[in-house]
Amino acid sequence: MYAASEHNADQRTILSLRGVTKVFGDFTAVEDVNLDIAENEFFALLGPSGCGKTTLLRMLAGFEMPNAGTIHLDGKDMSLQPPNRRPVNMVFQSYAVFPHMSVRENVAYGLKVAGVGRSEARDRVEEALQLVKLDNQADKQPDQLSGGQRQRVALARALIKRPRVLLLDEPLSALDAKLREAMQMELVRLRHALGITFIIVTHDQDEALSMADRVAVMNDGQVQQVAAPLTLYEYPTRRFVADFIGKMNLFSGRLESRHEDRLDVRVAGLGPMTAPTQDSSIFEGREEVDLAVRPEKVRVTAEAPEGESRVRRQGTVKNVAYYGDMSYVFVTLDGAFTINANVQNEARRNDPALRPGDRVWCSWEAHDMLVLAD
Amino acid sequence: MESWRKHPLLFWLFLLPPGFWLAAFFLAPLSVVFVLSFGEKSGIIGIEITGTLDNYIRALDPLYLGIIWKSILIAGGATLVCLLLGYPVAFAIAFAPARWKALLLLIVILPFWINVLIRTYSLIAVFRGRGFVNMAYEWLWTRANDLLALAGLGDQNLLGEYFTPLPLLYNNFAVSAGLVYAFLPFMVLPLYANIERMDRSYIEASLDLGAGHLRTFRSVILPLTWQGALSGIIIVFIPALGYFFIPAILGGTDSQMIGNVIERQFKAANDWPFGAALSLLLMYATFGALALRAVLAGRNAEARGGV
Repeated sequence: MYAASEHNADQRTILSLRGVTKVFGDFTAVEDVNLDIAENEFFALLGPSGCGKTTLLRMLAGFEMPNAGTIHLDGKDMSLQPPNRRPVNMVFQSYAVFPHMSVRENVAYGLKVAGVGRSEARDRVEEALQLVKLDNQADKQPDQLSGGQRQRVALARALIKRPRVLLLDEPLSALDAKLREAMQMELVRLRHALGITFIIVTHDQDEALSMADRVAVMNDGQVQQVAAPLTLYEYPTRRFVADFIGKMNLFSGRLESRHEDRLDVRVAGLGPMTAPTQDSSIFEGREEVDLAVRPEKVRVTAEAPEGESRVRRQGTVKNVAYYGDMSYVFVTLDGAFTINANVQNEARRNDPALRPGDRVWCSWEAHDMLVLAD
Repeated sequence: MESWRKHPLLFWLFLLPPGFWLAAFFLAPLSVVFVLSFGEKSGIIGIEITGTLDNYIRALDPLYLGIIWKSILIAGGATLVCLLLGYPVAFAIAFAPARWKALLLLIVILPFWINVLIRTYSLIAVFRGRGFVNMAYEWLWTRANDLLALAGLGDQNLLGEYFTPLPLLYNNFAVSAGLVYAFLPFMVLPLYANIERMDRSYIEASLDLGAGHLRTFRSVILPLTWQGALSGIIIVFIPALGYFFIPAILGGTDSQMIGNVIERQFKAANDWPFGAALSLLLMYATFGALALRAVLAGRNAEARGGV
């Protein structure tokens, strides 16, 4: 039920997955996945390795057939179609650029197979090579290219088929940091230029959050939450998503009382806390719930903070990790709970503002608290 | 890696046994053969090294050239059949589930546990007039005749009056089949190694780009596993060319190969110098084939922009 997503109603659904399940032996790789992906959307499947995201992508490409469920593309059932019959193309993690063909032959392969006429094929190859800025490398062999260039060949080779959906399997994982950033921007540019739906598989949350319109977070074969990057970061609904994306302070507590728009929770060592919730009925019958607050929402001050709406606890600085632009401050609150706060190093200074052993106040807005299901 | 330079004594100590082996059992006999090929028979066991080229000139006689050509045809045909059979077998093993692979490979190399001579003799039991193939064929023939009789066509002798066994033994077919049987594993193994090593995503990429399975095989798999096929061709064709006991056991009067001729010179004909010359010519032909392969492989690497 958490897989149901905020989905732009004005955009047409191009790809629709219902109850998609894949089992290998006694291992369930993908379990009951329901997703609707809109036309022209940049969609990311995000999760740790082994979460089933690649298997799901391979089912979209046709390399694996689902054991249960259906995959509809443009309203047509594609679940059991072989890969060469799907209007979908893939950029492989290893790029899989054919080593015995030149760049031009690689890019032209899909057209040649489809029997596209010689002059049209030549124009389209030229166009595709220009698109990925490889037009001056067309006659090189793959082993003369860098990793980034090989990836562009794989991209051009897939895009030349004018697919309805482009699938990208960990496309940036083999590139170094600088190249990865450039390629991220390149992919976003290409998507806008071509108006093709992109589905990208990644284990890198920065990649997913910075590029995608919407992200599906997966774990243990199941979709945990589908949302736009901002919603995913600021309003995770489940403990796994809150923990996996960014940094998070998590507190387990006992549910004391349930109101329509908030929960009263008693956290061991921290006392009573109140957290807002949109739908408190989810927590009916629950005794334990998880509360969370992002480290950058926590302010560390020497004096007791002003403001009625702020949650405040006193503690002792345990450790400060300095990162230049910011510092991670770990404060052991009175009651033995350690909380993590991000402090921006806004002003230039000669000695650290906080040292281990300092007595401080930690505070955050009550409405920044999150309540998480399971 | 270069540390042996600091201990030359140790290096030579390790080199000595294999060096001795090569010198005593390979270079020395080969030199003897080389010298003999320039000799002349003098008496029953005497050989005089006169530096004559007569043996080589005799080897170029149309009679022997014909036998060499026929040997090339038979060995080449057997190699081609090995290649055609070997590809699907190697493919099936490479794509079999992991737990089956070891067993399937074992089945391929299992015949090596029995001496090839014994296996060749046992082929006689398979191919002869009342051998297993013909017995099966006769059974089918009889059943077919019974069926025809049932259909009221019994007295027409549509399948001939008597059962005639297929002539499978003591001819070129038997020799070719024997060579295929003996050498198939040598084709399967290098092919398997190459297919196994190939990145599967090339196949998936080809399918993803709209190619069917046949097209994928022709345009992607074949060019990428060609090196394995080339290795298989070399290690099947070269020994098959010089094999003598398979044609001797399974062949008929007109299916002798160059190996048989050479063998006869050293034994029945007692003409060692001529046998030596023929052996060396066969070896030079082999070198030629290997050189051709190196050139082909080199051109391939060049085309790919490699070294």
